Amino acid sequence: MNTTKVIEKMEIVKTINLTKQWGNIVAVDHINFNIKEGEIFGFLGPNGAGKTTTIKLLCTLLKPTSGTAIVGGYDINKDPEMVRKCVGYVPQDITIDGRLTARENLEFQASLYGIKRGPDRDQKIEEMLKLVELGQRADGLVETFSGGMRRRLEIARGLLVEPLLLLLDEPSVGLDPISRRSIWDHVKKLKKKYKDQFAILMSTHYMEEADRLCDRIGIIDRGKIVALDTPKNLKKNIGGQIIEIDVEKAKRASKKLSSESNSFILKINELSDTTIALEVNDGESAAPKLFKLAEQNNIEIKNMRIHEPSLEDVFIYYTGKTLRDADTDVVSFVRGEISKRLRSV
Amino acid sequence: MFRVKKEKKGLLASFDFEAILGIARREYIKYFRNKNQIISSSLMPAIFMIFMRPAFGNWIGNMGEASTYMGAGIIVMVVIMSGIMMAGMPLIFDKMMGFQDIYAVSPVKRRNLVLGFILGGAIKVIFQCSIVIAIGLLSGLVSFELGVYPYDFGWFAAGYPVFGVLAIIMSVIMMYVMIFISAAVYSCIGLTISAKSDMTNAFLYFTLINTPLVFISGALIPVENMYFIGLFNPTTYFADAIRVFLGGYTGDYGTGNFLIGILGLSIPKHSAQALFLGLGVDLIVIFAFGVVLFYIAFKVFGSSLTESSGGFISIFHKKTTEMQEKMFKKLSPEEKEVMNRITSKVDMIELMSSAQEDPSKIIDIFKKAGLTTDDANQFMKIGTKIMSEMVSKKKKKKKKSKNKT
Repeated sequence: MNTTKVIEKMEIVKTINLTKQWGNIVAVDHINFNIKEGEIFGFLGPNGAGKTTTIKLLCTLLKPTSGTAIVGGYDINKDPEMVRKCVGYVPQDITIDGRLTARENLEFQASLYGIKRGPDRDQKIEEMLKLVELGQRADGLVETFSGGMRRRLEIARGLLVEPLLLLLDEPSVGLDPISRRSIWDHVKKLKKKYKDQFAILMSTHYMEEADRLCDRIGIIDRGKIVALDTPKNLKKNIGGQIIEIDVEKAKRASKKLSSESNSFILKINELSDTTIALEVNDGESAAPKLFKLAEQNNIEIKNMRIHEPSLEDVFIYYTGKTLRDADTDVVSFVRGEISKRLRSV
Repeated sequence: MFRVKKEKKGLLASFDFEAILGIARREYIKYFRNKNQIISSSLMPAIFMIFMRPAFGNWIGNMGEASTYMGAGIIVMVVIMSGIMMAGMPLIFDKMMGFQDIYAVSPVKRRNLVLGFILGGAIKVIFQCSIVIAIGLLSGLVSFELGVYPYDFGWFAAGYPVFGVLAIIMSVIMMYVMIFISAAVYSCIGLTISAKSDMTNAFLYFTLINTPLVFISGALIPVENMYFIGLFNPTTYFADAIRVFLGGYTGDYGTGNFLIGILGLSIPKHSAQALFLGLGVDLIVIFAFGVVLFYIAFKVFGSSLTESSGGFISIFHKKTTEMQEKMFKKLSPEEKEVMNRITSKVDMIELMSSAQEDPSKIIDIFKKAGLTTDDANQFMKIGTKIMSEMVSKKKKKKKKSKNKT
């Protein structure tokens, strides 16, 4: 008999074939994942992948086309009001009321979540303001705040209501490195404070952020989760090492390298016009082979780097896009152009 | 289990006063902070009252009666305009800023949200209205005439000045209650409009609804002068009630008294009894309007909170699907079937963008989606048909424009 009791952690979020569709276009496509107690779950993906839509579905701002999700034990279709009680939401765009002071913004939020007026509430607000280092500016109009200060205030607002699930939609966009780091510290502090009965779902662009903060990461592309695991395992999965080489023409080089039947190159990705990344089992032994191969094919290698796979490599592996691509978001740009052209027809 | 649990149900529990007051507080804090807004929105009625006083007097002939009639009318106008605008505009700004999402995701029940906004609007209107009443008193267009019904009920004449003072205080309180209820009614209208429209449209709708509310009513023109169309307008009843308090000319029949007359009850003219009977009728009618308008505002506002906040993405998707439908319109049903099958599996826009880059990519995309090369060929056929149609249309348009020139 097994004497040690296995304590199963509760699932704060569980989605069942969650789907959101606009006409023929599927923004979120039969997503299945769960978030356990005390976990920080990260969504990683290019723009338009469906991160924000998923978050909006979970906080009942949108209604799913089909499928459902259970948040804090309540169904988002059947019990949206109870779901709202469980969830704290920090939207992607800064939505702090500029014509109120920081304190008034928090007071407004508290009143929405049924926190009764009184010394307790005042103390809590004071605590939150100190936590995000806005204690001295508590009574200043938010209009006069910098972008970073507004973002911090917004996170304080999301946390004020002590939610079961905190949804952070790209929390560190537009922040300087120092305030970004202080927000990370703060998120970690929160996790320690509430331990169980608390989870964070965050979407992000920053690999470093996802790597440092998240217990598990879901890589999402075109409405589907293409990979879901801990950052460690994700990196382990793609295995081996990465060799990055700078050449004159990446397209030509990658075509030539891939046309050769090489056992040592596992996968080739073009990172830019002049850079390609090669996945290999063992970087050090592969390097000389690579030089030989390049010489045979008339490829001049200008520079070379060997490194362990980072989360960025994982991201490229699963979505076929570099982060730069994801940031400028080629797909959405092309979409806009085409729709413009069609309109003019 | 988790720490969030359902609360017990009850009539009082379904109203979250903390939230209602919180929302209202946000509204009036922002209003009082914006001094320019207060001044500019008091200016228009002030100009009306100060400079147009002689005009009103000469127009109708009887200086006293006409100007007091207009005085009360202008106050009513202020309540309507600021009621609609001050409840409606913040909501539109919230929508633009994305602040709407904040209260949309909060657990506050929709009715409490609507009530909060209405309360906030009404508080602002009361303050704005008080400024205008003060201006009216100074300019002489509005007067609390002592010794006239209903202010002291003749208590002064009878030698009981204490009761007289109490009666005056009661009357003023009653007047404010009346203004408050009416302001809430107009706030409901403002909320309904702004929940359904965006920035540019909202202004249009505000003026569109303002004008008939003010002018096709008994506010500025006596109801009996316009075949009683005004009886279907809440403003008429509100104006009638305000006239009772502000010493305005209520005519042989104020609206309430007129309705009583229809019911066949005889009314003693110009007595406190008659005035207050009329006032009661006014109150009941406005309250009825309020209940209906609140229900509409609640429904419209509530539904706008969940789905509309898809924002840009949803608009984009809607437009593209509309475009697709337009393009598929002229196809035969079989061709439509093929296209529908394909578009359900492949993202059209992605397909077209890659086709522009390199047409050979189309087959790859089809293979990935699990479609055959046959499908790809059919798709290409239909695609060229659509494109050629679009091109020919363009040519025709060009020809037409050439012919014109």
